Amino acid sequence: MNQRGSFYRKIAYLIVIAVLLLPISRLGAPSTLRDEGGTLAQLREEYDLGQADLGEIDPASETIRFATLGMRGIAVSLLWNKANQYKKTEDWTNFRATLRQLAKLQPYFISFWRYQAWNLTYNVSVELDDVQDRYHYVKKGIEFLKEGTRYNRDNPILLAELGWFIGNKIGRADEHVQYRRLFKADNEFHPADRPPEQRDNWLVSKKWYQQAIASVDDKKRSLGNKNPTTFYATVPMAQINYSDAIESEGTFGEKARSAWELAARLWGRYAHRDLRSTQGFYIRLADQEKWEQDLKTLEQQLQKMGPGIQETLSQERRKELSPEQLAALAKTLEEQTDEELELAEKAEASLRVSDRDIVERIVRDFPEKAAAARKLGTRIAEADSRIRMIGNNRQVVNYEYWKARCEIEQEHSALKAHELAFAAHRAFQNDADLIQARQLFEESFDLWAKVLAAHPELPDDSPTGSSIMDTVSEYALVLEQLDLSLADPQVAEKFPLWNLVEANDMERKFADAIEAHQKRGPEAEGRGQEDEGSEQDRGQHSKQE
Amino acid sequence: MVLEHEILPYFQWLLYGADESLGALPRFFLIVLAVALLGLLLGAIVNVARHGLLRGGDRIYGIVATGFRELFSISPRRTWALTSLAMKEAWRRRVVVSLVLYLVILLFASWFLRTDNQEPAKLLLSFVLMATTYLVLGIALLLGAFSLPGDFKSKTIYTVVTKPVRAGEIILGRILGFSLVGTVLLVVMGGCSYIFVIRSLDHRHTIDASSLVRVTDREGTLIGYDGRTSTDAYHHHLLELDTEHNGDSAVTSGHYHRIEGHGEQVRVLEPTGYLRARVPKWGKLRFKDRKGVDKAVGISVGSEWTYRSFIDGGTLAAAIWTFSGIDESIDDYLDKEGLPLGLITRVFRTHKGVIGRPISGAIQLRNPQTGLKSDAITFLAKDAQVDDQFIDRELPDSEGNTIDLYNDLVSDDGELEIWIQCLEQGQYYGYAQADCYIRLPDGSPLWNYVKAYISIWVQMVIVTSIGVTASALVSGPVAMLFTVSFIVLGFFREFFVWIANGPSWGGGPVESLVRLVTQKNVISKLDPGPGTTLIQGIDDVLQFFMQGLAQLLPDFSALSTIGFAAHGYDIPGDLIAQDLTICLGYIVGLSVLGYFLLRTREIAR
Amino acid sequence: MSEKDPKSEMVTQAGTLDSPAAGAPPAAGAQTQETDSKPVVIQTRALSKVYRDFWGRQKVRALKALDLEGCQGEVLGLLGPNGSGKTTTIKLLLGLLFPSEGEALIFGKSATDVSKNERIGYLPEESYLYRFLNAEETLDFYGRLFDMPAEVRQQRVDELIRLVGLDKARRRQLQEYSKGMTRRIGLAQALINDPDLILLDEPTSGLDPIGTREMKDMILRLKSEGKTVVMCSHLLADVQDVCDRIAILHQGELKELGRVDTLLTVADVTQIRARGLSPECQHEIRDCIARHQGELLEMDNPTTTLEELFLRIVRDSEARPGQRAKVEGQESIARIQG
Repeated sequence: MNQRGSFYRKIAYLIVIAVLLLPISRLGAPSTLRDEGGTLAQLREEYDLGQADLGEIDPASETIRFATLGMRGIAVSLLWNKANQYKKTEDWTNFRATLRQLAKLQPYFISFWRYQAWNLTYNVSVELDDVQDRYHYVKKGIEFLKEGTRYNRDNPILLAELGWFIGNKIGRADEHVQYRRLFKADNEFHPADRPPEQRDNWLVSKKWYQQAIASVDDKKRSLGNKNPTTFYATVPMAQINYSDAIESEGTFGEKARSAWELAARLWGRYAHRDLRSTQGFYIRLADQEKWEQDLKTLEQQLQKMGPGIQETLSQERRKELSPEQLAALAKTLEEQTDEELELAEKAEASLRVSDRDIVERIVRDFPEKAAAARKLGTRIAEADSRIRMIGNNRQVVNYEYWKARCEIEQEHSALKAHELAFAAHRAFQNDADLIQARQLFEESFDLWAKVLAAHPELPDDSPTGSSIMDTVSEYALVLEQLDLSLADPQVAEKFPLWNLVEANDMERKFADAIEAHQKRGPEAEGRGQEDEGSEQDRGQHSKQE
Repeated sequence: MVLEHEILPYFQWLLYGADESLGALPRFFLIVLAVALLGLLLGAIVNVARHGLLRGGDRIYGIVATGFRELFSISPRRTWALTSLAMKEAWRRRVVVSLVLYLVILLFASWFLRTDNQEPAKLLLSFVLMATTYLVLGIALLLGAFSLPGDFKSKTIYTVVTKPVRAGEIILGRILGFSLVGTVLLVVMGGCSYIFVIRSLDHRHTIDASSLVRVTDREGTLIGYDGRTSTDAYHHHLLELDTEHNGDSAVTSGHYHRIEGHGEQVRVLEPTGYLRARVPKWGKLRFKDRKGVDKAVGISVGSEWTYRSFIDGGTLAAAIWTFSGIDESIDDYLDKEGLPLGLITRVFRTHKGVIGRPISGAIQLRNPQTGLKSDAITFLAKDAQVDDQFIDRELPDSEGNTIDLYNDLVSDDGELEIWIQCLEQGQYYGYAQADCYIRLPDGSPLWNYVKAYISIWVQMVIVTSIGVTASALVSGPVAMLFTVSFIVLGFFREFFVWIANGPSWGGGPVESLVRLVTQKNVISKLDPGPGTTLIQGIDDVLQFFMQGLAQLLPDFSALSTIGFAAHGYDIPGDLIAQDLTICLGYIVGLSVLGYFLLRTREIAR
Repeated sequence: MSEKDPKSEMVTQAGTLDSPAAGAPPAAGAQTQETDSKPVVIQTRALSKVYRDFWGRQKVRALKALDLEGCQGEVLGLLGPNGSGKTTTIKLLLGLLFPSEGEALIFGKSATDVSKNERIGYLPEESYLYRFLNAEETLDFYGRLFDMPAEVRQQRVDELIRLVGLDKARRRQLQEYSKGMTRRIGLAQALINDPDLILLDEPTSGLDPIGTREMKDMILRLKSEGKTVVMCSHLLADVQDVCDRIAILHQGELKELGRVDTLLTVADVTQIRARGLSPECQHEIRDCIARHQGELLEMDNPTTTLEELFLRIVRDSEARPGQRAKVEGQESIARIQG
């Protein structure tokens, strides 16, 4: 009896164990190529917590992970905590040592590499006061990330991050002048066979970006939830930044021009690349105009199919409006009250006749044309959504601006304007030759005014505008030393870039000068820019806004 | 070097303590008294419940009375017999394996430790000492916690307690025995690790003699050479050599090399200065705010770590250290006269300033008695580094008269004030008390290393004592868990106290648990109601007990002197004396406790 | 002791066994007599032990109100089946357990008093010794525990090692010892302090016949040296051979206590055994017996075997728990007679 009882009990235990295992197997099933695995595996996928498993196999790391005997999670948590503690108490040496230990324990955890490399490069470096020390930690973060890419070969996210660190941290930090210089001279960082002119942080970053792109294009690695539009823009942007940077360091002429030329070419190639949009279909940034053309043609075809329908529809809807709405519509913007404004907006919206409405009307009124009209409608909708999608993505990367910029910067006058500004800067800073500096600045501004006039696609508040603005600020310093200022009429009259200053004076350094300039009235403005009609138009436009 | 707590002179620490705290000795007696009363109360409850009021009371009296008698009849011979037995047992339990493990750790340490950072010595030392601590504590834990239960299990304890052995001797013998074994282990580990550190830090550079640049004076005569060494061990040194190619290299990564020229051959000798034992003489720090008003602390720049507080530049704000016991003998070890200062300045900028240029500040010396102040000595802040300053003995005062540092600026009772100000508007200097000190002659790094090991030894003995005492009452695994929790809580004692004392965010243990489970942040209030009241009520009770427990917890992080050794500072003798005293306190207290635990339990079960 | 067939003997003698101690309460009487003559070494008063579990719930009553006294120079045997409370009694006497009720005194001191250990030696059931020590180290270690000075210790260790015959194995670790050798070194450690009272827990268990013999000789020798020995055993022959008095325990109760010879003597049976009697004399005796309606078996006072006594007491105790066997035994014997 007793024996039998214990036998039954064991059976019961087995059943309970099996029942308990069931949810575990459902939850924890690992994902395979064909199957997306259990709940946990799916969640891991969803939140991008997975550990990649391709890349260098490090025997040290494997041994250590094995030696934790399944306590890796605990060990990792403790070490993270320790790392945070060291960071808090500013013990950077031990902080880095702890990161190394962590790296051995979780070498395939992408977020770890990204997070802690960021910590070193961005957070730790700024805690130090000496530029050399800062650079040291910027570099350590970069090296750390590089180590991560060794463990996780062809991971586009890490590769792109590496490009970003090398490019943007070194090239955009407040200390970028020093960082770039240190980077160029860093024999320990660069491989011995890298030629000196390639030791530019932007060019190195471009290399990493190219690797990142190659990992997606050739190795078919997933981009995850990264936006392809920005991802693929990294390479041309690195080239653009490089061109910009060498100019600001005094390299002009053919070298600068060819750098910009390459940038333009890369930008063009980027524009013709198929990018997967959020809607799932592929777009090319360069195709916007083509689609717009298509749309126009299609709309014309639609108009032809049902001539006058648009008018009819518009009339019909007008009749349906209430008298209040009509009254509101009749008034001008200034006369309308808030409620009227609202009424008018609603009315206007209902008056708008879409292509879809026209298609529907054609289908209703001309059944024989229904099939053709529907087909046309679909094509219009498609063109429409492409245009919108491309437009959105163009905005994301500021497509038009950079396209224009790359072209303009190759022009002789733009190159010359840069060079003059740089010469002026040198004359002011190095030689303290105020007269010379002022003259060079003014020459540069005149050239800029010409370039800008010729390229209305370059708005005043673009990055170009703000970089010219920096030059203007320096010019103002020169004027100050000459006991002059932009507010002085004789200076102001000759100054050709008022609109640009208005658009870019974020710190309101020139508020007085602008006011004085505006008081002198439109004729003064007109005189200042008499040969630049388009500028004036834009000026008025911006004033309206 | 971060010194979170001031180190008091030994006797002050022992008898009086710092402000608003008790001396160690009175505290020890208070704790013993509290534990004794608690034990008595518990014993009384149990006994009275079992045997009734009269007989129970009688038994308690009997136990306490014999206890006292027996505590004073400890025989050294018996204790030594048990000590050597414990040592033999430890030996039989293959503690030697731990040495092998230690060597393996050292061998593979290079996987984690690259010397490519700016403070390789600090990293190596802190790793080695940390590894030693963990390993030795682990051994102490296993030896301590499983020994007595092993005897209970094998019943060998029957033949021991039926001899005229006092229970206290059994406990004490084990503590001493295992401590001795641990001592032997530590000596071996210390030797191995010292060699490991020295070997890991050792490296040589080469100099290409042809790359040296001749330095000439105006007339074109050679006065020396400039150059740099090869890059080895992730760094190089800049050189300024004399005409014979002799000289010291510049300091990089905390060390330099002696360079010797032999004709055209230039030899780089071994690294010097990696291991140091700076002996600081610390002062008392106070602050003045931007209006020149006295303050205990400076201002916060929003850092989570409140160790340093800051003074704003270009204002009257100043950090003021008062040193006492200053006399002319301080500079005796130097070949020049003056005041050698060590200064660690933390710079905080609110604007970039001129990138690449350090923030300038001023040092002034002041006689606290006469108020006489030297003229400002300007310096450029080396952020977060030990900046060795030297103040000449002859100084100008603010009117340009020459004054003598020791005669005019030191008060009659040997006090001297050092004022430091930041000179740049919108920039800040951060200081803690330990950040400015008078440099006394360096101690021996080897002896410092030994002292670091002594503090590890202290921790080991405490863990052993806890383990042995716990195992007098409970079985091995339970004793181990108990000791482990003691160690863990001891390492995080400050956090524990912070939770126990209540101002911690997110409430006590139960409330925190509720917040964790319900994913509520630590700031938002719990909905008022009976549930919340209950939770907080439980927490109050728990926190009360935690406060009690906190009194017993050894503060391992405070006992550890790894920070000193790793940062290259001499471990103060006062600190070692305090550690040893604490250790003695634990041995005595725990032996007595262990005696009563062993005495009041039935040996046979 | 006469050699007889125990079985037939049992049957025949059972019939004639009658009131072994005629009249007065015998055991108590015997005891008082003893105490008068020699100092009491161990004494228990209503000694009880209840084993409890973690929650304080009663699990087993291992010992119920034991009253026992042992005098100097005697060998006292505790006899009982497994689980009868023998070992518990020994542990209580040693202070390894604390009594639930009553008290145990040794040399007039409480059993929990450590100083009593100066004068006692204890051989546990199995020799619980440190197996990583050798014989010399073991004895030296225990010698130190008695705070013996080095010379005395050295001498004592040598003596004892020779006494227990481990001279050749004195430097071998105990883990290499055979069971018999372990017992012997165990005995040696019990004697290291030349104790006045020796407590032996199952001293002969696991020993071969020669070993058993030697152990018994040792006990008798200790007795002859005037030492008190308390031993517990379930091996009846051992007890019978060496003990002066025995206490029979069953289920934690004292069932029988007395001198071995007294207990085993059947008083109403006379056994005559003689040499050199003439046939007339024998005849005369037979006649005499016949005149008294007796039947001569052998002319002697026969003894029962301890085994028989023991089994009967245990059986009685199971039938009527909680009472002293003595009285019951008498009744039951009477009944058998009837």
